[in-house]
Amino acid sequence: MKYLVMKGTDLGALEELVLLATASISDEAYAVIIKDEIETQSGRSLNISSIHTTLHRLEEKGFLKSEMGGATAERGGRRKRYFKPTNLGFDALREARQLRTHFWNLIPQFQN
Amino acid sequence: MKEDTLKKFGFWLLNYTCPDFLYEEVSGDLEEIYQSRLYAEGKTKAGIKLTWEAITSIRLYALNRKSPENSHQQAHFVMFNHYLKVAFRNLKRQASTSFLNIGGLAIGLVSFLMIALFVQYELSFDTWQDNYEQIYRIPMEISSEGNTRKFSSVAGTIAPTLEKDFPAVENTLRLWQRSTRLVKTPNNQNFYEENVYNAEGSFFEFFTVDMLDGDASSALVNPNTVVLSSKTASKYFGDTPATGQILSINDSEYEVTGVMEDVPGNTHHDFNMLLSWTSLGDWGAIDNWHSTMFPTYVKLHADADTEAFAKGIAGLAYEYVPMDLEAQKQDYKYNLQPISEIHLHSDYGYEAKPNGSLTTVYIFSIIGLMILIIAILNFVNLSTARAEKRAKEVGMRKVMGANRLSLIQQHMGEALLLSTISSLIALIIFVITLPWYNQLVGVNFSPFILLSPQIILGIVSFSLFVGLLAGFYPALVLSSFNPMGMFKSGGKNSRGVVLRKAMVVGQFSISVVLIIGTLTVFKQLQHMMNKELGFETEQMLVLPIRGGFELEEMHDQIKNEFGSLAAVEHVTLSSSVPGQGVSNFAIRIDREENDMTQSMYHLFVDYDFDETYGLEIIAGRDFSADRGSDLYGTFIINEAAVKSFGWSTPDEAIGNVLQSGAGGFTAEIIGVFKDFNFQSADQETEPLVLNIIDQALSTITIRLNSGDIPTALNQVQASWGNLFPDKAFDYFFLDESFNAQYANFERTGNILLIFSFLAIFIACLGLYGLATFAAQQKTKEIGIRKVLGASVSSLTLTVSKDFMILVLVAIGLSFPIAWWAVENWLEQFAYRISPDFSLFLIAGGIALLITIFTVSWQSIKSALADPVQSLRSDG
Repeated sequence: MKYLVMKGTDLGALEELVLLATASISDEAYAVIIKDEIETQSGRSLNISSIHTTLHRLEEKGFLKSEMGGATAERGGRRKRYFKPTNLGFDALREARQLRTHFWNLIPQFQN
Repeated sequence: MKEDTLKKFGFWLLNYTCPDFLYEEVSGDLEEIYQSRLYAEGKTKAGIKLTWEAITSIRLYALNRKSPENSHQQAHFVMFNHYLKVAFRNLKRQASTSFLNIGGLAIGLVSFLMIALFVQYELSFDTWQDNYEQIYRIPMEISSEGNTRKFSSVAGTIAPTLEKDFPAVENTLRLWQRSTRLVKTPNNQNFYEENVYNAEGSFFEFFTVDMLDGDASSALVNPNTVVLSSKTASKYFGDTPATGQILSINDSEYEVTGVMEDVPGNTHHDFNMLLSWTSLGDWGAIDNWHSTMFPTYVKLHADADTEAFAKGIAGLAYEYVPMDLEAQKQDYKYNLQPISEIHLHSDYGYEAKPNGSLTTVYIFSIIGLMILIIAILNFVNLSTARAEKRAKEVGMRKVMGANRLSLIQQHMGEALLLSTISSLIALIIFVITLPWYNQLVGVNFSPFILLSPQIILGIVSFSLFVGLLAGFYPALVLSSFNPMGMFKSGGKNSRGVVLRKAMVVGQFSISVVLIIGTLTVFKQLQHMMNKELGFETEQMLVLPIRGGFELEEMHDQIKNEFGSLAAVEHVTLSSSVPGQGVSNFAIRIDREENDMTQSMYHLFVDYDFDETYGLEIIAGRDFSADRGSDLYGTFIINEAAVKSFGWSTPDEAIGNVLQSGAGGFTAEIIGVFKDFNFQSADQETEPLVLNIIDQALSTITIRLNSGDIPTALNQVQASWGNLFPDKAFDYFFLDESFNAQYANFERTGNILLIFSFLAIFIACLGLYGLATFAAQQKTKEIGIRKVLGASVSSLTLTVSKDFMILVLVAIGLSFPIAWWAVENWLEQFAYRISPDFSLFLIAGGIALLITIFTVSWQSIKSALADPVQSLRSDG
């Protein structure tokens, strides 16, 4: 089994994290919520603009799709961009996990 | 700041940092986060974080803009990309002139930066000490019979007297510079050490260097203690601590009580080793009011009245000097000299380190500016010429509906791009060539100096300024033209031409001035080096004997050993040699009506000195070994000393008795020798007395008779080994060491040479570029002329003629300026050439030759071109 991933579809560490967070939020995931989610789960503090770039990059790669909507007063009436993982996105996550599991299985210390 | 202001500022920033197609969602997100932070963290913090997020949003530009709703909002980015593309295409299409343009500016900027560093370094001397404005040196002037001599050092009595009499004085410091010492370390290594000083404990309050080990306040208190510079300490002891170690310095034992940070190079002394002042003990010379041996410094209270103090000390001698100065028509005047002015403003004799010259600093600043101006003119000139070739592009843009503003933006932007690239290249060249430049100027500049805020700011504003200047003409002028005119073949406008011609004239005038300056500096240098010094300098081998030795026992042995060698003509011993330091002592004459004491240079010699050095006795007689009384008992003096004592002829001097402050012996003047230049060719000869004292002799001078120097050296070295088995053989040639005094001028000359070469080079780059354009503009004309039968040579002349005229005008303009500059520079030398008109002609000739070479290359190329090609092209 080959785990080498095609160029252009590989996931950076932050990209994987953001994609995971987006997938874990059932619906209406947008930048602020995703940032909060990652921060609570990982304890890492992130700059919102890095979330923005990552989300849009994931969309360019086809792992996410988005639509605008949900203007609220606390946003000064501006709309949000909601993100949802595509099937390709789920595939990428699965693949990343398999790659990881594969390596875990190769580490002697982790085999009983 | 108010919360609203910060918030507003953040969102205002976001306008610029966030791409339009993302603006809605991003600003919404930021607003939401801001609101939630507002309660948790307060207004200010939330505002600052918002601003930071706005700034970092700039990274969103990295996203591919093919996302959904971005459509036409991005027009200005498209245009920006387009302009960038066009700019680079133009760079490529006119590759050679682009290269000249960028390269010329870069070289100009590097030259300017380097010169600026040097100038800044020269100006920074003795300004690093804490409170350097309060520190002064006390030099003195001694006048007698209308003859004034200036000394940078004074008697050892001055410092304590000032401290006692003037409340304005906070502290004083005396130094005494020692000749080269022989230092033996505990593990029996031997070093010859220079820059060794006796210094008082107050040293560290004047020269504020940190102690790396030991205590500054107590290190120089006890006799026979020594503080080393960190460089010296690591030379002797490597990594082991130096403090507490015992050094033998000229056979006396000293305990190392501290290690100090190296004193910065921009100080008027170099200090490798400080011996405690108390090591000198009760030495009579310190209390002699007539000596001028000790550099003396005062630190005044911050609120002291400096002027009153200066007035107060001027006449100090009349109160204290144990002699009736007025009756002897003598004047001792003490001055107050700010320490920061020593390097560039001092004209006192006998500085420890050669001083800088303010004139040189001015000249260098001017050269730096000139080169920068040449480079800028060049850049502007070439950019303008390049832009003219693009008249059609501008016309086309106008036809397609470009407004003037966007044209101006385009051309300004392009010029800015070029100047920025130049600056970056300049920085790279700077870093690469810095080590080599350091060697040239003898200073160690660090490349990290580029990171200082002034330099960064300077370079950024330079790029902006030059870019805008160069973009100005094309931006404003080209954009204002009627597009119809621009398409007309050969429809060249002549607006820029006069300006460009003026620039060429300016560049070449500057270059010619620089060439003349360089030639003059080298001629002056030659002049000084070739000066008849009045004594033998050829094949004179000097062997200093360092460290103690039993001279009385060795004296005859030395003379016999060396004298028996075949290669040796004469051997003599003396206390020092011309060009090296000669000591200065008080000397007193007892006369019935006019007894006086003066400070004079003493050279202690033996019987063969005059003969070895070829001195000419003009009155009286030479020393004679046959008369035992000549030992200690006689003086031979020079003409300057005769004058200084007020005798009208040398013969009058003979028979007078002098008492020397060096040990207080009295001796009779038996002869007068012709002045010889024992200091430096750019100084007047000072009064000098020769006297035979065998204990003071420490330097051997050997006059060789053969041209076979290597063999002679081998013989001499073998003899040295017989005489001093435990001392290293150390020698130098008198002419070399004498000329080493001019190293400073030589350095000036070399720097000048390189920078004038660069200036001419840059000017030629510009000329070459312009000739290229001129030839291109005349392509059709040349084609038609050729078809009609013109010869290649007459065509070449047609193209070159205009430039020749410009350069001739430039040469004419440069002569008076150069004359003035050169005359001013030469004024600082006592022994100088006058401005030489033939050098002017040579410089003019060089400029003209270079012009012909540069221009005709291009002219011949176009004259040789096939007229069919040039006439077919749609000019």
